[in-house]
Amino acid sequence: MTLWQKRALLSALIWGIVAAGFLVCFLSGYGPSAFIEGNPRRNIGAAFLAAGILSYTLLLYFTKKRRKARPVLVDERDQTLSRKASEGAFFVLALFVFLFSIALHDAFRDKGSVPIGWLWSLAYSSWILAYLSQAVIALIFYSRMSSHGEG
Amino acid sequence: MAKAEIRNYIRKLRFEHGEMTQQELADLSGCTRQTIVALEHGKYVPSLALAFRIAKVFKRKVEDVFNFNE
Repeated sequence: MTLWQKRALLSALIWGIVAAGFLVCFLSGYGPSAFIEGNPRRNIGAAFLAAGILSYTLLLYFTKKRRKARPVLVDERDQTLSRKASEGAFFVLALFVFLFSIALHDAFRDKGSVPIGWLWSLAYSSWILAYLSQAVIALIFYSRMSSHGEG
Repeated sequence: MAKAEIRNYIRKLRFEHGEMTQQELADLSGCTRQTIVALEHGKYVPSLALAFRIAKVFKRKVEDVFNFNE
């Protein structure tokens, strides 16, 4: 397992926990419509996101490419897979935001307005999904490329 | 357009060079052992730079290490 494969694994773990925490905050209590300013659930959700960003930043720092590292810890294959995973994550995110917006439109079309809590959901979940999908797609690419003898 | 395939003789060349390990080749060519594994299994096509570095380790021309089948 290369350094960036471990990074992808830890990243998936971090953003998976953040996603689970956020979903619990968002869906508990009085539901998405109560996810508004002043509500402690929104602050807890924000704390989950902040913890995720901080953890991920530390992860990036400790797993950054070091040019003179021997043996080589990160090479062109890792960079290629990371780039492809980012392209995949971009597609996933674009699709998610598009479908989420359409779903909101269809759900609240008759009422004429969307409860503000749903927009927080879109903001938080799109951020989380971007990083989570990047990590998961990278892991899929790594597993496809791995063979017997690779550790 | 037909799909092109790049094969290589890295595994064979390693054994011809004193049973060089994957890690040794990786260290000498500046990549990870996992990349050597992926190359040997035909699951990764290297950049031109890495192909030249691997060929240099074996003191061969690139076309002696990598084979392009169209």
